[in-house]
Amino acid sequence: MAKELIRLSDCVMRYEDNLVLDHINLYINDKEFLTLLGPSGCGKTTTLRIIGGFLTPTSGDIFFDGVRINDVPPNKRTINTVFQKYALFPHLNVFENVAFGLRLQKLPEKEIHTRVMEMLEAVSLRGFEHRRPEALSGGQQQRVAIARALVNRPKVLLLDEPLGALDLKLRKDMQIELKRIQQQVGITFIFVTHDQEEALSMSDTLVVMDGGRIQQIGTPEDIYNEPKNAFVADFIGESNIIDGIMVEDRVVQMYGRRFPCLDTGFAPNEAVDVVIRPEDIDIVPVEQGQITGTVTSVTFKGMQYDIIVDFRGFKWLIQTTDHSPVGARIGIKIDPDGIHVMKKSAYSGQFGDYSSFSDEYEELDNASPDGEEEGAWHEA
Amino acid sequence: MKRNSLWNRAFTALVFLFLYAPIVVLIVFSFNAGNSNAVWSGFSLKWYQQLFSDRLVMQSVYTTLMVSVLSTAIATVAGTFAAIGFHNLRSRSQRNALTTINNIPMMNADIVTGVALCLFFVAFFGLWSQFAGWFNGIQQVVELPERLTLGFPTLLLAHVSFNIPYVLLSVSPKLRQMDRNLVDAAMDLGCTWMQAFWKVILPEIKPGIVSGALIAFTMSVDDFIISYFTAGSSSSTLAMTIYGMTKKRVTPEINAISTLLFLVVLALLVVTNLRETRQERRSHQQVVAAAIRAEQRSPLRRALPRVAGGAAALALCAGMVVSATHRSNQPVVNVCSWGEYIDESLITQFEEETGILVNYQTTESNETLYSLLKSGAGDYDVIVASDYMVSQLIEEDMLEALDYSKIPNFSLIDQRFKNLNYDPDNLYTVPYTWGTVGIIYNQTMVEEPITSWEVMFSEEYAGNVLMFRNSRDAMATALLYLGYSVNTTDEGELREAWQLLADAKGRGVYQSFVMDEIFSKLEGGNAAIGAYYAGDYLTMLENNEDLVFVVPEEGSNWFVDAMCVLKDAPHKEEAEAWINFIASTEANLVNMDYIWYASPNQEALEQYPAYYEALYGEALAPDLFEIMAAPDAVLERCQLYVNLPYETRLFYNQLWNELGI
Repeated sequence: MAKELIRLSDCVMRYEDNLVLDHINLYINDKEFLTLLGPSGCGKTTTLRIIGGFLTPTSGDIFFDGVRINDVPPNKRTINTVFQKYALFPHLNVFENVAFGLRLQKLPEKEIHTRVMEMLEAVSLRGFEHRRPEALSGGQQQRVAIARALVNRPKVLLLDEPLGALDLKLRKDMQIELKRIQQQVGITFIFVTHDQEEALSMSDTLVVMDGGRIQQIGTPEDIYNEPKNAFVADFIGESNIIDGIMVEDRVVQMYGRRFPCLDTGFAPNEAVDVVIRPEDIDIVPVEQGQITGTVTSVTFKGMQYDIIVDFRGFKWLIQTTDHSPVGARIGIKIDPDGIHVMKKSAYSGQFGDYSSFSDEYEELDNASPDGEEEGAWHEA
Repeated sequence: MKRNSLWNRAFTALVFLFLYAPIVVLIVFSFNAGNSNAVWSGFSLKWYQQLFSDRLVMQSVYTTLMVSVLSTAIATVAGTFAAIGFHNLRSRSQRNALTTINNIPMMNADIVTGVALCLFFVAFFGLWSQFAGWFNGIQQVVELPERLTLGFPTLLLAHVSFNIPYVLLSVSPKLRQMDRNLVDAAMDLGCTWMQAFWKVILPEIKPGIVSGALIAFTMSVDDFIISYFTAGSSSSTLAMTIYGMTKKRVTPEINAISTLLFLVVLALLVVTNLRETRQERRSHQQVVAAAIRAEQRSPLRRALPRVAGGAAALALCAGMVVSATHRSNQPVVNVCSWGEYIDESLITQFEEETGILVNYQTTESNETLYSLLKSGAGDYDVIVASDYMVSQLIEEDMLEALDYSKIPNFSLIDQRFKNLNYDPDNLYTVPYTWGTVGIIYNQTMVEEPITSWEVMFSEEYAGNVLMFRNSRDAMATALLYLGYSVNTTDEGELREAWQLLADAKGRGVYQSFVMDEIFSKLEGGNAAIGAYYAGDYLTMLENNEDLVFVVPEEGSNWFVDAMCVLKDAPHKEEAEAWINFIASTEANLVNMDYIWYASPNQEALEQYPAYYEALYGEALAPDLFEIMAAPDAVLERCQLYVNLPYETRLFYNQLWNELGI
C-alpha cells in the first residue's frame, strides 16, 4: 500500500450556528485518485478548501506528510487547485496563465518557456499560447486550468467540480483525459463532484459525504456493492430499500417471506434495511416468483426498460431487458448475492421507495451545488 | 405616426433648448467685447486674457487642481481597499448595510455635509488646542502648535471624505463581476495576498478604479458648497472665487472662466464615457491580435510607459509638496473683502514690496461674512465690512484694537471719515471706501427727471422699478421718503415704512427685488428705475449712456466700508502693514480707478481727476466725479447707518418676512 500523504484529523467547520463539517477524519494516500462525492451542502468543497489552505478549520488538524499545516497559507503548500469555472486570469493569455506560478518562483525565462510548452503539449493546447481565455472553448479553458496547476509540479492536485460546466460528451472525454493525466504525472488527485457516475468511473478511493459527515469510504466497487446505509445505497446508483428482519445469519425476512442472502453478523431478529439493486432482480412467471406484484409503469431506456412494480403498496424499480406491459402481474426472483443487508440508520425510511418515481428523478438529484459554495467562499 | 414623431422631435428639441440655452448664452457672452451680459458690443478674447492674468483666479485654479488631484489620489487608494474590504465581508446583511451607509453621503445635501465637516473641524481644533496647551506645558522637547485653523489640509480632508464613496461605488461592481476564485487561484499558484492584489485584482478592477478616479476628480473640481465651509481663509477653490466675483458685478470674465470650467468637466465626462464604451466593445471582441502584439513587445518597451507614468506622477506630487512648503515659510496675511473690490495689481505690488504673501478671499455680503466669522470658519486677519456691521462686530468684541503707530497712512484719511458713529473713538478701523445710495434711471424711459424717492412707490412706472433685495436698504428708501431717520427704532415709523413698501408691491410697482441683477436689467433697458450704489452706477454707465444717477431731494444713505483686524488675528503685524499699504495715496488712486468707489484718503480724492486725465488722456467729467465722491452739500443730506438694537433687528426680520420676498 502506498504511503499516507494527507490526514484530516477531527476537522470541524462551523459558520455561526451552521455546522458544515462534523468531525471529519480522513487520510489520503500518495498517488491515489480520491473523490469526494455528495449532494449540495454536504461539505465536500469545504473539505477541499481546507486541504487547499483557503479555509482554516474551526477545530481539528490537517497534516501533510506528517507535518501539521493548519497555519500554512495556500501559496506555501505544494498543492495546486483546478477551480470550478477554472478561474483563468482574463487579462493574461494562455501562455502567461500557465506561466503564472513559474514566474512567481522567479525561474529563468528559458526554463519557464520549456516547461509551459511541455505542459501545453501534454494537454494538447500547443499553438494556443497567445489566445486570451475568453477566446477558448469550455474544454480548452479546462485544460489550461489543469496545465496551469500541474506546471508547478505539485504533490497534490485539487479539482473542484472541474467538469460541471461541460456538456455530457465533453465531460466523458475529459474524465478519460483526467485519468490519463493523473497516471502520467503520478501524483495525488483529490476530486470533488456530485456526479456519482463520474466518481465511480474515475476514482481509486471514493468518499461519500452528507450533512458534513463522511458516510462511507472505500473503492467504487465496495461502495456500490456494500453500501453502509440507505443514503449511500440511494446516492450511488439506484436502490430499492426495504424494511426487513435478519432472522439469522444468511436469512433475511421481507414481506413475511424468508430470502437467502450472504450477510452475517447481525443479532437474531434485528430490524434491518435490505438493499436490492434494480438490475439484480429477475422477472419470472408469477408461480415461480419469490413474491409477486403489479407493473404500474414502464419506461424505455434504450439498453433496458425501467419498470415500476407495486409490491403490497411499496414500489420497486426493476431494470430488465424483457418488456412487461402495465397492469401485468409478475413474479420476481433475487439471488442471494443480489441482496445486501444494512444496519438501520438515521437515513432509514427516507430512500429507496419509487412511489414518486419519474424521469426527472435523476435531474432533481443532481441539483446545482450552489448552496454549498455560498458558505464556503465567504471565508476566502 | 408621422405626426407623433414630429411632436416627439419638437418636444426633444425644446427639452434640449431648455437645458443648454443658458450655457450657450454664457459661452457667447464670454466673447463679448463690452463688460455686460445683456448688451453685445463685438467679439473679443479680452476676458480670457484678463482671466489668465488674474492672480486671484490663477491661484484658485492652482488650489483647485491641487486639492482635486491629491484628494482623487488618496480617495482612489482608500476607496479601492475599502471596496475590497466590503466585498470580502462574509455576511451579506453587513455588506448591504455598509453599502447603504456608503451611499448616504452621496445623497446627502452638500450643505449638510459642508456644515457638518466645518463644525467637526472647528470642534476638533478646540480639543486640540486644549491638548496642545497641556502637552506644551508638561514638556519642552516638542512644541505643538496650539492654534489650528481651517485651510488647505481641512479642504483636502473634506474632499477626500466626499470622494471616497464615488470610488467605492465604481469599484464595487467590478469586484462583484470578478470571479471570486481568481484571488484563490493566484494564491494557490504561489502569490501572497498583496501579490495577488497587484497581479490579479488590480488588472481586473482597473476600469472601475479609473472611472472612479475620474468621477472623484470631476466632483472635486465641481464642488463649491463643501469647499466653502472647509477651506478657511487661506485657500479658495475656483468655484469659490467665481462665487466671490459675482458679488459686485457679473463681468464676462466670469463667463469666460465658467466656459472653461464647463469645457473641462465636459472633457472629463467624454473621456469617462468613451472609456466605458470602449471596454464594452473590447469585452465582446476577441483581442487575439492585440494579445500577440503585446507579447511581441520587449519587456523594456512594456515597462516604459509605466515607468514614465510613475515618474510623472512622482514629479507632480513632489512639485506640489515643494511649492506648498515653499509657501508655508513665507509670512502671510489673510484678507477677506467683497468680490471685485480691489485692483489686484495692488496685491502683487504689496507682496513684492514686503515679502508677505496675501491670501485674498471674498464673501458676498456683510451678513455672510458675519455668519462665517461666528461659525469659526472665517479665519481672517483683515476684513472689510460696512459701517453698521463694524459696529455690531465691535459690540460683540470680535475686533482687535489697531496700533495706529504702525499705520502712518491713517493720517492721510480725511477728517470727515474718522470717529464716525460706528467707531466713535476710532480704535478699530481704517476706512476703505465710501459712497452714496441713489436712484439710477434710464432717461429715455421716463417722462421727466427724477428727484424724489416717490418714484419708488408710485404707480407711474409700475412694472419698471427695481427695489433692493435686502431689508436695511429697502426699508431705508421708504423711511427716507417718509422723512424719518434711517436709524429709527420707532416701531410705528417702521411699520409705516413697511406699509408703503407692501402697498407698492401689491400694486405691482416693482418688477423685482434685486441685488447685482440690477446691472444687466438697467444696462439692457429691461427696467427703467432702480435704487443702488453710486460706484456701481459708474460701472453701468460704461455700458449704457442713457443712465442717470440722482441722490433724491429727501436725502439718502451714505456708507463707509472699513478695514478691521479680527480679535486674536495670528498675523496682526502683517495685517497692519497691509492696511497701511492700502491706505496710501497711490493705492487709493489705483483702487478708485478700478472700482469707481470714492476713496477716504484726502490726497487721493484731490488728485484723482488729474490722475484720470493722465491715464486716459481726457478730463474726468466733474458731474461724474461728484457722483463718485459726493460733495459736502450732498453728504449733508445723507445719513450713515448705525447698528440697530437687537430688538429692532428682529423687528426688521419680521417685517421683511411679512413682505414675502
